[in-house]
Amino acid sequence: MTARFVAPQSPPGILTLIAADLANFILFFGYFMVERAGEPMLYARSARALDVRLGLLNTIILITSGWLVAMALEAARSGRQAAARRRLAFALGTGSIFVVVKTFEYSSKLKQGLAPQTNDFFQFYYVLTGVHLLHVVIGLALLAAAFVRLRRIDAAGAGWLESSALFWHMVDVLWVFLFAMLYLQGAS
Amino acid sequence: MRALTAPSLTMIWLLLVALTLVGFGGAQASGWGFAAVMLAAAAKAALIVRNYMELRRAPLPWRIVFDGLIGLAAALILGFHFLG
Repeated sequence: MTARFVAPQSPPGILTLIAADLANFILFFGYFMVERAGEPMLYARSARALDVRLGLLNTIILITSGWLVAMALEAARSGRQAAARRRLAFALGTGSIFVVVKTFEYSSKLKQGLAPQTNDFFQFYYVLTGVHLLHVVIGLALLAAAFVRLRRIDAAGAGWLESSALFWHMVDVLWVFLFAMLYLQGAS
Repeated sequence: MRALTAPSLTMIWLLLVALTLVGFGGAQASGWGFAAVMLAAAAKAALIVRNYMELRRAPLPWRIVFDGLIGLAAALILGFHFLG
């Protein structure tokens, strides 16, 4: 008999946490934009010093990892445990590359002398992307825990996979806004 | 409403990649050019929230909260962009 994945419908607890975390980031987006409105040229000039190709690469990486997590949940729900684990492993691998790229980006910026104390833009850049990176690491840890629990397909395992997938997609949504706001915003 | 099938999830991924490239094409834009970049970002966020996070299947209050947060983020960034 094939074990069926008993998935709870969007657990409200994790959704509340995610909504609160998103709201918290939105406050910081507002803070950044208010400060930026005072010196748009400085912020736009500083943004040009970022490597937009690395930002693009990391965006594609997170989107792809999010797709793989959604695909893993789809497989788990139809009882295809091996496919679910394989897809989740690829999602973890892809997500880990984000951390490698971000670490490389930080070190190359620091080598160029662009540090948090350089100016207000870079202070925001390091704090916002740093807090986001912490979310990425927590998300990867949650996905790894879900991967281990996927050995058994039961309601508890389903809850783990669904909740960590929701958290991972939030990390993706936050990056979508951070990439546009920090890397792509110019001034006239 | 049923959960999305694998081909639908892949179609969403392709849309997300396409919107990312549209946004990248507008790098360093300001004014209405940046508005287009932010619109592409908000569309991506909405696609993820509705399809990957499955909020399209959630009760209306949750959909309002998440769509509202995405709208708020985009409006806040764009509003202050035009003020700057």
